[in-house]
Amino acid sequence: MNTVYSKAAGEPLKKSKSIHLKRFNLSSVSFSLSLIMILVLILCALFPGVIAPYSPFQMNQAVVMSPPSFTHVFGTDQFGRDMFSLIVYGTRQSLMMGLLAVLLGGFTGTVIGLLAGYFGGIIDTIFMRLTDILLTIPNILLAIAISAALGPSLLNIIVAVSFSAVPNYARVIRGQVIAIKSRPYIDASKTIGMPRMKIIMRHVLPNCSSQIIVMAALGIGTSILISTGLSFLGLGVIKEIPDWGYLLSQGRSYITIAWWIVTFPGLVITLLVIAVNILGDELRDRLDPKRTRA
Amino acid sequence: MGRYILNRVGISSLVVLGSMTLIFFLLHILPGDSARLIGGDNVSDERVAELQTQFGLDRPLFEQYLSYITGVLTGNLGTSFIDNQPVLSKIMLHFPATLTLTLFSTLIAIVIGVGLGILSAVYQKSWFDYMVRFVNLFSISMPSFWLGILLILVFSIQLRLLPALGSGTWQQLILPSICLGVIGSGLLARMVRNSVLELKNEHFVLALRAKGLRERSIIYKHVLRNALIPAITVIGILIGELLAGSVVTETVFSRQGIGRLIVDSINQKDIPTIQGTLLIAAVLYILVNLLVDFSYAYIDPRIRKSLVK
Amino acid sequence: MGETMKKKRLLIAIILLLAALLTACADETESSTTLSNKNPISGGEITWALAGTVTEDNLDAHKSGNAQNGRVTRSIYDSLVHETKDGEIEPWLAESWKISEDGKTYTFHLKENVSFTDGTPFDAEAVKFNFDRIKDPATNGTNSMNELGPYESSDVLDKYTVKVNFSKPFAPFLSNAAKSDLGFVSPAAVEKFGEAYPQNPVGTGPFKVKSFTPGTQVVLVKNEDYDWAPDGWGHEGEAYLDKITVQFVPEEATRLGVLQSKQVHAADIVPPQNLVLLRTDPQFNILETELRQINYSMYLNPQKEPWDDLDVRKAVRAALNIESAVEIVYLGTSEQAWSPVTTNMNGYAASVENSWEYNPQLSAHLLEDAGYKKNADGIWAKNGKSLTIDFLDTQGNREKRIDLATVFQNQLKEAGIQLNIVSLSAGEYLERRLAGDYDMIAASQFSGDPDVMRMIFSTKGPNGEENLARANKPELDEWLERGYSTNDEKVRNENYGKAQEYIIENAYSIPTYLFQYSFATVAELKGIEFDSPGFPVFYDAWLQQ
Repeated sequence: MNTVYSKAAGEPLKKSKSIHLKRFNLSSVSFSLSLIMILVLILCALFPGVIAPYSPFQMNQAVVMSPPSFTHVFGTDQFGRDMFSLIVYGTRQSLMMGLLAVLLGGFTGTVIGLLAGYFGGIIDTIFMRLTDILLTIPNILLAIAISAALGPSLLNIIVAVSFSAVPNYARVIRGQVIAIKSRPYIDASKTIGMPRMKIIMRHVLPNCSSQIIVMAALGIGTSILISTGLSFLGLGVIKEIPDWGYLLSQGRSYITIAWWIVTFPGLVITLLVIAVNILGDELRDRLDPKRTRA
Repeated sequence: MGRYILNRVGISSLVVLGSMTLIFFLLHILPGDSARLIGGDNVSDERVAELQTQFGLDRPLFEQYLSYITGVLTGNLGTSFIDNQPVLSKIMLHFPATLTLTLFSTLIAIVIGVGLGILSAVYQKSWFDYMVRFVNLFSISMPSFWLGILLILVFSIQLRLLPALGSGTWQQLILPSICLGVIGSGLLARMVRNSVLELKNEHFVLALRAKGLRERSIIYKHVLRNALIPAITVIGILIGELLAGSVVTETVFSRQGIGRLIVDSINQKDIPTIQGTLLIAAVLYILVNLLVDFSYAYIDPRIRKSLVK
Repeated sequence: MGETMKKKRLLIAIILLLAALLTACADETESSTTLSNKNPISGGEITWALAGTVTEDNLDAHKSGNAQNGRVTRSIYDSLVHETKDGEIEPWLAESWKISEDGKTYTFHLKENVSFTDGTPFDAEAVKFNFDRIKDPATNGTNSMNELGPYESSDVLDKYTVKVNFSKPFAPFLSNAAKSDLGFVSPAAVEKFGEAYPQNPVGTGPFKVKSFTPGTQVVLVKNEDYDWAPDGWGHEGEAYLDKITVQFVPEEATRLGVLQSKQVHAADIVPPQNLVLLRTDPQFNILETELRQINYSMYLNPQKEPWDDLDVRKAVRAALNIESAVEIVYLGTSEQAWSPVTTNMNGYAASVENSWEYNPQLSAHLLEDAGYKKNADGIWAKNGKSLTIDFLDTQGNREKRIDLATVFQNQLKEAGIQLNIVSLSAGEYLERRLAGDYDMIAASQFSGDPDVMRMIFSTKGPNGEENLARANKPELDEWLERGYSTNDEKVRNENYGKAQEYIIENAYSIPTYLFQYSFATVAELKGIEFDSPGFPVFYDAWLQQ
């Protein structure tokens, strides 16, 4: 994916300290739908008890695997639990896995990119070769290897998923930093004796922030897909309240007789990833004046 | 050009060595006594000690690492914990199936992805464009095993058109290739569309337009040739993605292959095999990208010139 | 087998019969296939979707410990003796045998004219070669080695007579000798292929391996020279089927999908939800058999606080409604287990049935008496520590075991006990299990003889004091010791009965469900039987054209 981002890496942004929301073209239907989707899911994550009609623990033998109806809009699972409620309650953990993985991966990648780009020389060489190495192992394979080595736990999965995102951040940020470094105001800051850390934090980092935000938005989707894949391969975590990936991987056994158990969690994952992708694209278009509006 | 190639090959070999090191240490921080795992649930302490010696697990980690590296350099990827087979021969047994699947799905991805990408750029902002973009978005946003299961449900179980299982005949190749290819085509189509759109507004295109050339001939004669060059780089990334995707796809479709081998060896905690397969995947990825770089340099005259200088 | 199960079966049989009659009335040509009792015919090729994956070394009878491999190797390898469903031992490759007074030596007279599929004759030397091979640690045959018990040596008395010596009396031997794990591999083939033998397996069985792609499939073809079937099987001479392609399909949904769309002829381990549907579908046959094994049971760690307190263990057990959980998860296809061992195991103690019950009041009462009070979250707590069970697991949802634990989690929560399902990598699991660093673990253990209890419950078993149950009581050790070291069935049963009652009384094990191995086939595939441990036998199988 890095080639896509690196296009934008050449030119720093002049006004990127804050994102100008009012400039967004809210009439764009897909964009608004995506925003609504994400907002709804955030609400689900924050107040599942208010939104879900049933408790996620409520097993009901009388309605085992009943198809979608007015009482159970997404049907019920193999225990007679309400699928809709399960998905609502699972939102928190699924979003958290995606977000934390992105935060961890983004943070590590950004730090590496900043250091490599700003200081150059041997630090640059070492870090960039390291990211080259990480890039050679396809992300899901790397995640599989890590979670196989560490054993399945929430933290390990987050580490595994974030690990594979590090090289992308590092490369893009490094490119951005190298471009910013040659700007006159950085030279000016140096001449007035500003400490290096301060220069990085004050001038370099803010100019990279748009890139970071775009990558993070797109990264949430990738993270969720990878952690779903891990669940499918039996490397997921089992929690009292199951996450979407787990629902999906458990539900697949029932596909020939109760299609709804696997269909709805899959659909929610897909819609969320679509939404963050649209959002990410839109952010990129907005934040990068050079890009043609597609 | 020759120096460029040598330089790239040199760097790539170092990267391979790095990947090898990373994979080795990653897998050797595994908790638990490997020898006890090999021996099974009811193994005696003496047997554990014996197995440790047999697999060299009682030696210091760094020594194990050195002998692994020297082993790999001489074409010995170690012996499987589970069945005492050379890892290399296990990989070779499974490799052809994965290669066929990857090639076939790359083909599907290129045909669908490049085709749709060009068309949706040419007919930008038409209903066709919107539809293609939505389908693309959908295809890259789906968990791949979910798509696989849905494909089996519809085409194999409901419509009974294609076999869901196994590897061998060409019919068995269709569903898994589509499953993988569709996801790849989404990535490719986005890329192609964007680069065609960018070129549409380049100066030379505007100049051609000013000269009065018909839009259609501008697109097909001038824009496409230039737009497809960056698409080559995506294919390198794509093959990596497809290799990784084969892990899930081969499991869903019960196909033979490297992906399945990785999953099985992880389930059995067969570290040498996991190590070997990951290494092969990394080497493949590096090779493909090296080829992409070279062909890129060969095709794009600007890059070729800068290298000759 | 419980009464309700039988009734259900009867009901299903009646429904099936009615359905058959109806179709017979509706369609003349249908009736000939549905109702007629055609004789078996030779020929035909079938594909079987096997639940699980058979990898490189798994077709070596002596190395494959997993049940899924045994299901395949049963067709390739023969055993010395054959055990009927009622536990009778009958001749197979051995024509007759004699057990010495002290129970330490077995003398077998072998059938003549038996040969391996590579032409090597099967004789006393081959028996000696095989048993010695199993006992050699380098073979790494954990299961088969265990099944040979205190094996010492074999003496070749003449070409077709062999004496097998044990250091102690070993009662389970004949029953174990009937299993495919102690089947016979061709000495010549082992010599020839060495380390690569498992990829080139050669036995004396009714089928031989034509090709084997580890992890994907194995193709078996008829052994045309086969003429030594045990009397218990349906016919003599070669098998009916020409070819069996076994595809390894661990994915449940795919396995059943390809059966339902008739891309394969058979699929095993049918999940309950599909079983319920397939049973009423006249296009398919369902065969079920109860495996002989240690039931999947929960083991609270009695060496760790607070589970060292019998009342707390009993409180957990009383809070579990196992009957309801089994009904929910297995949809009526399995029943609740009461004893550590399955009901068809020799020495099964029916006395433990209904010896405890689901009783939340009792559970609460026991915990109150033990000094527990409910905290703000509604969980019992004592000295500031809440009653939490860390349940270690490494196997995932095989046989819907995680689903079962999920229901237990729910039930326990209602009773004020917190259950955490901690899934670990195999290495971490083993490490914590051996260190005793857990509150609860669970497992089943496949075997044909009650002696398997020694593995789980005795400090003198192969696991020593780190056995699964960790009861570590001398009386238990003694009963289990006495159980295997005599050939007197009465003494054996008595000791195994005592052990089972003691284990249940002290809640050292909480048995859960009786696993039914299910085998679904298209209606045209007939004649599949099971051997004594419950592995499919394809010798009498045939395909109706």
